[in-house]
Amino acid sequence: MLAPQDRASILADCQSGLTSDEFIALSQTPQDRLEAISNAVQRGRISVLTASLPATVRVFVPFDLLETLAKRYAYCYPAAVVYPPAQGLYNWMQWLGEQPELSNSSPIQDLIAYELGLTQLVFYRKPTSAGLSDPTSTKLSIRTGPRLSPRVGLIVASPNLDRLLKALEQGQTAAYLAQVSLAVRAQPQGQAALHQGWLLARWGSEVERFPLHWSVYALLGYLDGQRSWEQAVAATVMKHPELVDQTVALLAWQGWFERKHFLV
Amino acid sequence: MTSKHTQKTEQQYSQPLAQKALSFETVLALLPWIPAGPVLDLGTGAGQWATALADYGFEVTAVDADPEKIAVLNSREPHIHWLAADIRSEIWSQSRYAALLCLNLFPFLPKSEHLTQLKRIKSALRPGGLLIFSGFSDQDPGANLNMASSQTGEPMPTGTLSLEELRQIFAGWEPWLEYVGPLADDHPPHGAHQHGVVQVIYKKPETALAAIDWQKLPELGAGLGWRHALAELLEQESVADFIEIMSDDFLDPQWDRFLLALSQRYTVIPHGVELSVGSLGGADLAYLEQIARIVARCNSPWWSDHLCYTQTSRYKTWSLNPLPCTEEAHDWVVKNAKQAMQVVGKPLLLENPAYYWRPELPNQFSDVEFLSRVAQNADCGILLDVANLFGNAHNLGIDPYAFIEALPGERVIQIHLAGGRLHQNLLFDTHDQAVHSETWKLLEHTLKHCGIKAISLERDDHYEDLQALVNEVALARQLMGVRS
Repeated sequence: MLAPQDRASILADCQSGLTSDEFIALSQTPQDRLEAISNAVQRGRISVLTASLPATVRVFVPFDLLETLAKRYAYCYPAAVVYPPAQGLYNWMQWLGEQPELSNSSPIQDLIAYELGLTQLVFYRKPTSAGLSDPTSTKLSIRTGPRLSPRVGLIVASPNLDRLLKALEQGQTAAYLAQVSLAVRAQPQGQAALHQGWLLARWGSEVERFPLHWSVYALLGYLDGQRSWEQAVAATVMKHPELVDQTVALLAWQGWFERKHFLV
Repeated sequence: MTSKHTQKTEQQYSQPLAQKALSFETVLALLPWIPAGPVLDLGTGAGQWATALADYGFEVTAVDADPEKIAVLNSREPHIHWLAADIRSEIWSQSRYAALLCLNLFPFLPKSEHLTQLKRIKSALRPGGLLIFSGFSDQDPGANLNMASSQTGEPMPTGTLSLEELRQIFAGWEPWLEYVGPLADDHPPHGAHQHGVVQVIYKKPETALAAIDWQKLPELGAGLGWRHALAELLEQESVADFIEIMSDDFLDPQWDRFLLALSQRYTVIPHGVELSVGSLGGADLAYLEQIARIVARCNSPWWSDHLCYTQTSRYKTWSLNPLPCTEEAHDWVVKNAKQAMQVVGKPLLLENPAYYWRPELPNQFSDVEFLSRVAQNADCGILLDVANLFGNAHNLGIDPYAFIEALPGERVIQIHLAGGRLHQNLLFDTHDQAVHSETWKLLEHTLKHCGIKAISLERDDHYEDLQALVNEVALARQLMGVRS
């Protein structure tokens, strides 16, 4: 169905694994009918792939290019799904961001990083059955330290992410792109685009975003539910000795995260 | 409360069932799983929980014994039904509520009254309803005080509970959360302190799907498929009698709040494309559970999908592929359909798909025989897409009128109407054109032969003439009325 031009070779291959009914069906169908159906199926798959992308990403990618990339993905991954978003849509968007046509676009890379992060945030969830309160935990043992709530996640994007998302919300993407283009031209040659750690947090259907200093970003990477906050700070400082003067500040961050209910 | 007592509370519960006490976030996170129906908040206190539930879209009744507190809350949030009453009075109905919150009310009830009130709580919830309960354990600092009062106002020992007692009273209910341990609190006059609590979230067992009396399903009239482009049109109440949603667009619980609001204005029928009832190995259980959640949210009288397969073990086609009408395919479909109905808990209608080729296989039933046998043996209904029937007649030369007459008429519950597009001499089911005149004739023929309860129009694109679309729905309604 996906490659009608292969019909003859499939029929000739005695190890193709076709049932007798499948063999009859495939050999009876005229080639032009097979191609018409195959094209319809592929159009359907491409339509699902393009429609599944968040509107934020679709704003910046020309539709023709999007269809071309969706077709490429559909052929590469016949078993691809888009649901659940945390797996299916995640894989599709991640692949999309890696394509040469899009890899040099800072706004698209920012938006894909943001939307990938959102697919991993879980706010609405049933409490687990007796024994665990954290649906992402795979251990029955009691945790001794905090970790980020399932509704909170970390991404890396440019410092312009917040401005970009606000421009999208206000329908001012053209103005934003013009500004970004000017800023890039103004940068001295050889200076790579900066990146920023961002914390995303869901509450219902709302999403908050906070830029993080790289030291806090690194610290959060050590919160695995087995270390205390203090131990995570110690691990961060050991990995990055230049942060030793920031130890008190890093310890103080725990209070902010607890007040925001970002820790479980 | 002394620090020594705090230490004792923590040591007592070094192995809690859930690791953290119930929180505001825990309750908000489970709202998509509260089924359709009103919610009762017993002992509402400051009204925080009642307000959050009402903001989400539930119909809320909140009860507290303090009339002054209720008066203040009523002035702030008049859309909530606030009730100044003692929990012991006759304030609630049987089997009515989709969820019932009772948070730290029982410490103020004498222990001798707990069983009576818990039994009332049991019967107040409808099948599938959720109980969210918190009480004091005997480890609470107040356990040795007289926080409770009798009906005549006499102080009595604090009413404590144990998890074992709750498990006994709610035996057979599905536990979603059980916690025994400390709970931090901070309010005057005590300041920061800790309670010892027992907290549960239990789901009342559902009613099993009984044998379906198809004639008793409600008559819904003429409806329209919900699409983003039609949202503004569907704000007008006179356009459609009911709404059909594409289930697969609403699988994420993020959409629950929208569905709650929609289902309060319309009867909503979920119609899916990914059940893949013809696939070997059956439908994905996680998918079925989301469909069950959506059907419960909308309190839909039935749900539907297609008699087809959309995926194999090797790939996902996202197309509604026709099944061979063989005995083997029939057996798989019947098995999968029964499993799906068991999980979802409501009648399933299977739709005849459009297709563009039909291999001549040995020992194959006709299409109508296959559909009829599946419906009878799986005890499911039929969603007859007369546009697909017209398309299949054009593409493959079948007799659509003979098809209709051969169907088990009592099981044809819903009709789909749509307009397709001609391409390379094939009529494709594109849902983007006006309904063909021949399709209208097929609808009239079906209405003479089958016990139709609902007709819905499908339009996925080309919305230039919305009035024409509205007229098509009106015509469907008129034809249904003429039949009855």
